[in-house]
Amino acid sequence: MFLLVTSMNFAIALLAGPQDPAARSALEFAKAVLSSGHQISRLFFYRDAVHLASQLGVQPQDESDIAAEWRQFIAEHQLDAVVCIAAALRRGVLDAAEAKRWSRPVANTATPWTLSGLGQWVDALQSADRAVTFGT
Amino acid sequence: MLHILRHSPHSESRFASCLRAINASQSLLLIEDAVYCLQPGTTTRNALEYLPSSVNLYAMEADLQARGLALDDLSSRIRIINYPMMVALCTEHAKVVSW
Repeated sequence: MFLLVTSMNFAIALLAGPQDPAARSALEFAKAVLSSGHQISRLFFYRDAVHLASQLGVQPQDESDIAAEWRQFIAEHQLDAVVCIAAALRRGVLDAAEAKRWSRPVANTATPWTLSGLGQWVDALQSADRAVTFGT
Repeated sequence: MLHILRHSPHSESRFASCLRAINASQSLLLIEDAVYCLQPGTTTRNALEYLPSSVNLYAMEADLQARGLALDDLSSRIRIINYPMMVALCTEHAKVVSW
C-alpha cells in the first residue's frame, strides 16, 4: 500500500505591509508550499502589502530587506504576483503605465509584480485548491 | 477546517471570537503574536486548555522562539510545527480561515 500525495494549487494573499511579521510568515509559507511539491497559482498583495512592490524602499544594511526577498522569490519561481491596483495607486506604488496615465514623475514598481484588480484574487479563488490569507 | 489566529489576545478580540466559532472537529493554529495565548498561568492559556480534546492545537515554532516563549513550558496538547508542517495542515483541512 502506498499513499498518493496529491499536489495542490495554493492562492496566497497578503494584506499587511513590509513592517508586519505577516510579510515574513507569508514568504516562509510560500517557500514551504513550493518545497513541499505544491504550486502557487497566484500571489495577491493588497492593503499595505502593496508597499512590498515598491523598488524605492531602502533598508539599513544590518536589517533584512523583506521586499527584496519577495521580489527575488517571485522572480526565481516566475510566480504570478498581483498587486491590487486600487490599493497601490492610493499608496503611491505605480508602474510605468500608471505613472504615465496619472502624470506622475516616477514609476516605482515593475516586473515581477503586476498591477491589477481585486478580480484577480476572486479568479484565483475559483481555481485554487487552497486559499490562505496572511496579515489580516 | 483550520483556523489560523495571528493576533495577540491582549490587544484584540479575535481570540475570543475565534474560540466561540471553533467547532469540536476543527483545528487551531497560532502564529505570530497569537502565540502569546500560550503564556503559562494566563486566562488565555486556560481557555485553550478548556477547548474540547478533539480540537487539534498547533503553534508555529519560529514565532514562539522569536517571542521568547519556552518550548518546553507548553501544554502537551499543543503541537509545535514549522512552515512545511503548516502547508501539510492546509492540505489536510478542506478550508482554511485566517482571523
